[in-house]
Amino acid sequence: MRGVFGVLLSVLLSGLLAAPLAAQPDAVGHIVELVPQVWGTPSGENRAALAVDSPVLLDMLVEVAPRANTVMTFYPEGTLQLGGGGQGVQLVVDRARVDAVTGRHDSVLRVLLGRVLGFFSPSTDRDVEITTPSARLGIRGTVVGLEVAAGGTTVVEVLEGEVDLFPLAGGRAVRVLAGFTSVVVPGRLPTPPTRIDPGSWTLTVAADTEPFYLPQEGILPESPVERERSSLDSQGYFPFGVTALPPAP
Amino acid sequence: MLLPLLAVLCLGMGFRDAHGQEGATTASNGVTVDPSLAEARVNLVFGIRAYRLGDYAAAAARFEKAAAADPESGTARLWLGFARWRLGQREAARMALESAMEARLSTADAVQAEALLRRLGEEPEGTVPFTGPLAAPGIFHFLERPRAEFRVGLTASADSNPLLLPEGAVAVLPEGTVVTDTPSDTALNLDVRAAFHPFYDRRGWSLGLVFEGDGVRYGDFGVADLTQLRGSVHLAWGADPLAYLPGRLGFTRVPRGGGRTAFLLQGAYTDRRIDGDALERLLQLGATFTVRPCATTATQLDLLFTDREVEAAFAGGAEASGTEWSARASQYIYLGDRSRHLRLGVEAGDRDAGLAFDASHVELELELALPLSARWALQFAVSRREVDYDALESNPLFPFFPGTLANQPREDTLDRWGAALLWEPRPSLRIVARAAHVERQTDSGSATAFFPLDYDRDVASLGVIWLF
Repeated sequence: MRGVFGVLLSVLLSGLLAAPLAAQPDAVGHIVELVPQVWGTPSGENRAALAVDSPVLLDMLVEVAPRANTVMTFYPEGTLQLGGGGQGVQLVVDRARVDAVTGRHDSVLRVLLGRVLGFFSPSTDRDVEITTPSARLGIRGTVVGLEVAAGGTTVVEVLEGEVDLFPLAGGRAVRVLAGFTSVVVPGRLPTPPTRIDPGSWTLTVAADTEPFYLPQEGILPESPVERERSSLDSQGYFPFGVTALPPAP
Repeated sequence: MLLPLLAVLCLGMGFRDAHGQEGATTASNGVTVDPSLAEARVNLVFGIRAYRLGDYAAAAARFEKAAAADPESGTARLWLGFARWRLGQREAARMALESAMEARLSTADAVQAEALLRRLGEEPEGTVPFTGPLAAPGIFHFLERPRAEFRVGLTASADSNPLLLPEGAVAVLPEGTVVTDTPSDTALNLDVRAAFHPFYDRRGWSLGLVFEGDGVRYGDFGVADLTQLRGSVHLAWGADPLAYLPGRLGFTRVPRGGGRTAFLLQGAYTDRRIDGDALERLLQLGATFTVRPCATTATQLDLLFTDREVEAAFAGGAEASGTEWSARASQYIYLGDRSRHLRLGVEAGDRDAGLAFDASHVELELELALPLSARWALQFAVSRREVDYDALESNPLFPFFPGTLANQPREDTLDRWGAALLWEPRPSLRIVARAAHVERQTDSGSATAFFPLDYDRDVASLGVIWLF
């Protein structure tokens, strides 16, 4: 009797504990903009080209070709930019759940290769974790960029908020603050955070600005041919057929 | 010597992040978090998705949030204008588009905004919004890599000395007119530029083909009218935070991005004519290498080779054709962001032509670019060029008194300063006011007093530039 009661109790408890973590619908986002080619490989299915409005599914491998780009929504309130480099992108959304009681979202992204820039609305209660071949990132911020090289080296740049960077090789986590970057090489500890170079890719993508003036306005203001004229007037023979005589004494 | 300087520059200066805030957030005092970037971007992307699904009311609400989160960006306002128009809210659409035009907007987006504003002006009140396919505004500029771009500029200027005459000199013009005082004149300058970009970022390489034409017409002195035509090829490797690489033969577009190094190979052919007659033809090859060791500075090294063929009639019978080499090193120091910079440059070169023109030169340059606001910018430049001629034949009195009064080669010092104020009332239109002063001093030894070649020149101009 006690055994039956124990089984019933454990079933009830496990049901109560599991209930708040209800699964989200399969689409974890949608493609909003893309520069071809971008493909999706749903779990157990064949690879197919993605287009604007294509859903991005849980466990789907999203691949962006070299020199291609895509922008997608990431539910509930986030967006991801993939691409921008010469090596393409490979990304999988491993988990996207919402706690039915607290409403807190819990997401895990896996970036296997390439550049990803994530924007997560600060108005949403959300835990985001990103894993790469060399590190695990606990995202505590709202704008984070990362690049995973073919060998697994991960570059993390934090534009807003902060990131806890856990090397998969073990060891202490490094906290990377806004405006700072760190690099994790497989099997090694993260580098100490250093200031982001605004010339790096994520900031320039995020800055979203066009140069106000092009360099043709940056040259020394002058007649376009003045230097050439100056170079021709040796011996007092001025260009344009003008004969110059010495000034009157 | 240079490395410690770079280290100081790299470590000692703060930098602004994407929001224009000082990026000097330190671990000890916590993080400066401005949620505007994430809030703006998330709402913009979700708004675009709603727009594409036809839910224009939801889209408009998203775009309003995005615009509020990033007031300087015109992109969300542009989309808001489109959404309001779809909802039949014409006045609200017009206001959103006008507000987008006043904010930060790419050239391509500005064209979209102008097109819809024009349409709103032409359509009678109560017109059912267009519901067919619509070219949507751009989203992110990193997707924007124009295949072709055009520029037309028209400038009016006042020139105090278009013939570059020494003060007090007497000049005889080709038609026989004798000029006894340094003459001033007004001029009109028309320049056009067409650039084509067959590919970007093909294994890191980007190609640009540029065709330029420039014509100056003087009011009184047609002998100074000059026309220049140039075709150039620009092969670049790498990216740039401002999406262009400057070189000695002009600039070319490259993908927006970072990277420690970039280089640019250039070739150009130029034909110059004075008053309709051929003056010279130039074949030029340039190479530029840029290193960005850190956020606050960049170093640029240039090489330029010129093969110059000058019409003998314009060189007083002397041989002016020949070849020239020059090398330049520039140090950029960024003052808060990439578009605000100080450039220090030093150039050295050698010209190999007829004896009267053989010379070497050294030039020091300083340039300051100061964006004042989203639509105003100020620039200053100052330079000094010292030219040492190699042979006595360069002395202006050599043909008359070789070895006596003409007892030393000529030495020139050319000082320049200039300033430009730019106003961009809309992304496709720029107004440029410029002022420049040039002053040359020539030392010809004993001949200097008899045949001075010094001159001063001031030029003030006002120009308008269209980009499309």
